[in-house]
Amino acid sequence: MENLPPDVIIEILSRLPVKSLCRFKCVCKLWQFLISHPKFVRRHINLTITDKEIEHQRRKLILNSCSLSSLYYVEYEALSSNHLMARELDLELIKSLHDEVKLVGSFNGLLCVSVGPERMFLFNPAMKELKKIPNLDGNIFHPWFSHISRPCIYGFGYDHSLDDYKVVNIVNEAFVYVYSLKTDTWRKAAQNFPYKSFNSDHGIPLNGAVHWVFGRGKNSVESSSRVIVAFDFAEGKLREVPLPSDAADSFNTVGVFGGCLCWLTCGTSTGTTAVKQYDFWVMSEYGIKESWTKVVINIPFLCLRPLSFLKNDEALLEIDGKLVLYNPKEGTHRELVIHGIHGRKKLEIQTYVESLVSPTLWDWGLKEICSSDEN
Amino acid sequence: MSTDTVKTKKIILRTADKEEFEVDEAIAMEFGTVKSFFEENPDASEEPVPLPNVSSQCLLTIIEYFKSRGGSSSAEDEAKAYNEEFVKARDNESIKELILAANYLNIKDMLDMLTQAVADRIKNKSVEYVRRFFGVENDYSPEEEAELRSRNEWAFEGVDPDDD
Repeated sequence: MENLPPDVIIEILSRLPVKSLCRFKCVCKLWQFLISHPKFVRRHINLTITDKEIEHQRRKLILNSCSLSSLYYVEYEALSSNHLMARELDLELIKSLHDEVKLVGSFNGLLCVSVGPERMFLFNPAMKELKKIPNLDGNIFHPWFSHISRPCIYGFGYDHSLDDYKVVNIVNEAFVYVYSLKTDTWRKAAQNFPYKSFNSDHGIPLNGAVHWVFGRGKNSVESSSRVIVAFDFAEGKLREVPLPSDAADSFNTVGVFGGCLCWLTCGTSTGTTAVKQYDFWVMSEYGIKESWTKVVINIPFLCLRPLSFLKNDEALLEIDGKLVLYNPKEGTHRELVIHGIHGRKKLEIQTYVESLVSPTLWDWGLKEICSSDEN
Repeated sequence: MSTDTVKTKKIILRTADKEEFEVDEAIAMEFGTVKSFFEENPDASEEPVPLPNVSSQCLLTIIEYFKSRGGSSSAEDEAKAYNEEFVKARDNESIKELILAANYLNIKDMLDMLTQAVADRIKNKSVEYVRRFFGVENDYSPEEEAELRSRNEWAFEGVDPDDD
């Protein structure tokens, strides 16, 4: 019986979970080369976009709470039940630092986490690979300077044009710095930041840029209208995304849902029993103002943050701090309760998809792969 | 055998062992190779299409798969259940043979289904099992292999014991 041809083997491998692939690097040298190769890594990721079943197997919820020195996760398979058991991520090195862990962002299987005020890491939980991001130049973080300045605003995302993962750091609402994983260095991207921030929410990655909501103008006296500001990695600078014409201006944030940018409004409780229903907007075509579409959900909420779609088209949402699974076809919903996280305050929830993207590849692996590329 | 419409066109396929099969056009056109054959030879509609890389046993199985699966109108759950049944009964060697045939005949859906089935079968297996399955030789030195294994020690936890 003849052996399966290479392209069929690659097809089979791309459907395997990350853990299996890490083990199968030991099968032979060719397989190690194939599995680590950027093209295969890309192909493995693409299957989570085209195949709902595979996405469901690889996607997880990542849970974070301030004051905790760890991160927790829940498998998507568990979402069929209403009670979810969260498990701690295996983060030995980070836990040993005994400092507050915050999730800055998640993209293509890489998590960007800050540990305490001064350390940042890129982490692939599926491959158990961790990389420390070097600190910005010491001068920038002079203790006196950082003591009186505003907290840093971060964003983590992906630069398509260079196949590179990047971290944006907006320092003191004045300077914009960008870190590139491939070069393992920071560089200053902008010295001009004509906005002011309302909070230190992390940026949302989409389409080769990271997005925040800022106020236009620096004068705190003038009423600042909100604007979506994006740092575009390919262009290396800030730009704005047009807002929907009729949206309410009320504690807005941005999110991503089903691959589209969303404009979210957040209400405040007026103390009455009736809760006003807010809507959220989805930009079905990125950058096109006319493509903003209002989405109506028949669940009352003050604050809504969409997380992701499930394979059966149910929507996973965070509503007023709770996790809710909404069925748009039937208009029903159920609340999911998370267990297993001790001493928690308000939970921050994001999703992440297992991948083979290695944050340490460029440290010592790439040279070997490049030289064997000549075979 | 479909006799519901008079117009059901049949296509003749000839396998490697020189057997000929009469197949509904609808099914035959699911095979990318057959479709290309007719695009390149538009006058050949009456002649048997040669498939020298497919055995008659394999072709029979594939034809039965399409006949029993029903049209693309069948519900997603039903199709999924049917696929699982189809695969469950078959051993590794017959699945590999079907993959080679589906690859040669260029049947994308069936190939996706079969490659996923293999992935599901091997995902918890040992390195040795996988080497045997794919007929791959180990070209690591003992030291290299030991180093690689210790670096990925966590990936070796919970692996099925070999039963082949």
